[in-house]
Amino acid sequence: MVISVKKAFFVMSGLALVLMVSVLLITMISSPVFVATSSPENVVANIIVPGVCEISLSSNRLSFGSILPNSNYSANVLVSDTNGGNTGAYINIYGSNWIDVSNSLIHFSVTNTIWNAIAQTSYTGTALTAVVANTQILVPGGSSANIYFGAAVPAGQAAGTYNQTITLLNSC
Amino acid sequence: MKVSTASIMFSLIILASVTMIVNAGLGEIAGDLNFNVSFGSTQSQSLTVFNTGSLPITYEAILATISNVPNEPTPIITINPANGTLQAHQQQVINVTAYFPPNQRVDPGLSWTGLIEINEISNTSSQSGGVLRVGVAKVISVTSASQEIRVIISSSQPTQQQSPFKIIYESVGAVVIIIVLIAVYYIYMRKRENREKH
Repeated sequence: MVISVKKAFFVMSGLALVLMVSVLLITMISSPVFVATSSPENVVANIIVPGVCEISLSSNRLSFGSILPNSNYSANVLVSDTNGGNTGAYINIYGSNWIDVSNSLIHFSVTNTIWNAIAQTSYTGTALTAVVANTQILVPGGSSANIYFGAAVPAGQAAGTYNQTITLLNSC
Repeated sequence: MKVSTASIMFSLIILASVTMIVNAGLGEIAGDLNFNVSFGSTQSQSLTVFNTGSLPITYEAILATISNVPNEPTPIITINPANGTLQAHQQQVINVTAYFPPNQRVDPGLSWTGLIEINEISNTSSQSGGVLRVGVAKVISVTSASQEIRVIISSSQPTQQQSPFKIIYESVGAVVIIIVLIAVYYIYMRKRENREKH
C-alpha cells in the first residue's frame, strides 16, 4: 500500500482539525456543574443569657438625727445594696450639698458626709463629693453589700433642717 | 382566737414576697461601651436597662462624667431617649452616639473615659437627712481613630460544592465527541478515496 505524501499530510491535517474541534467542543460543554450543599435537617436552638446587674436599697432615707454644730455622727448608718442580677457590680456614689429645706441659700458642703465599707465607731471614711466616684465596693450577683454613712456639721452652721441627695449607682 | 402555726408561716411568706417585690428595681445588661470614632464620623451603641419590679420606674439618663485630654476637643455624647418610664418587667434600649465636634481636628489614638448614669427619679422629701437615689451606671470609652477608606467586597453567592461526577461526565462527553468526529472524518475520507478511484 503506497500512500502519497500529499495524502498523508491531508489525513494528518484532518486528524489535527478533528482534535482541535473536539477540544473546543469539550471546553464549551464542560461548564461548571455545581450542586448546592444540602444542610442537615437539624435545627439548632440558641439562647444567650446576658450578664445583668440590678440595684435595690434597704432604705431610701438616711437619718442622722440632731447634730450640733462642730460635731459629727459616726460612719455607721447602714444602707444595704442588693444586686439581684447574675453579674457583680461596683457601687458608684456622689451627692449634693446639704441644703436647708426652708431656705435653699443656707447650705453646707457635700463633703461633710462620709462613707465607709465597714461600720465605724468614729467619724472615719471617704468624703462624699459631687462628682461620681467608684467606691470599689463589689456587690456580687444575687447578693448584697453594705455601705455606712456618717455626717458632720461645720462650726457656726445655722440651725435648721438640712437635706442632701445621695445617689448610689450599681455599675457592671 | 387560735392562730395556727401554718397561718403564721403563710403570713410571713406573703410578707417576705411583698418585701422582695417592692425592693426589686432597676437593672442593666453588663458590659462597657467602647467607641472607636474617627474625625467626621459618628458611632452608635446601645445599652439596655430594665425594671424587675412591680411598679413603674421613671428614669433619666445623663452623661455624668467624661475625662479631658489637654488641647484636644472632647467627644460629644448623645443619649436617646434621655428619660422615660420603665413599666414593670419591661426593658428599654438606650442609644448612645459618640462623635467629635465638627471643624476640630482630633489626633488619632487618644482615649476618653466617662460614665453614663441612669437614675430613678423619685419624689424628694422635706424631712431632714439624706435622701437616697438609686440608679445604674455604664462605663464608656471613646478612642479617636485615624480616617481611612475601606473597600469591602463581599459575595452573596451561597456556598457551592463541585460535583464529584463532573469529571466523569466531561470525560465521557469528550470521548464520545472525539469518536463521532473521527468517524465522520473517516467516512468523509472513504468517500473521497472512492471518488478519486472512480
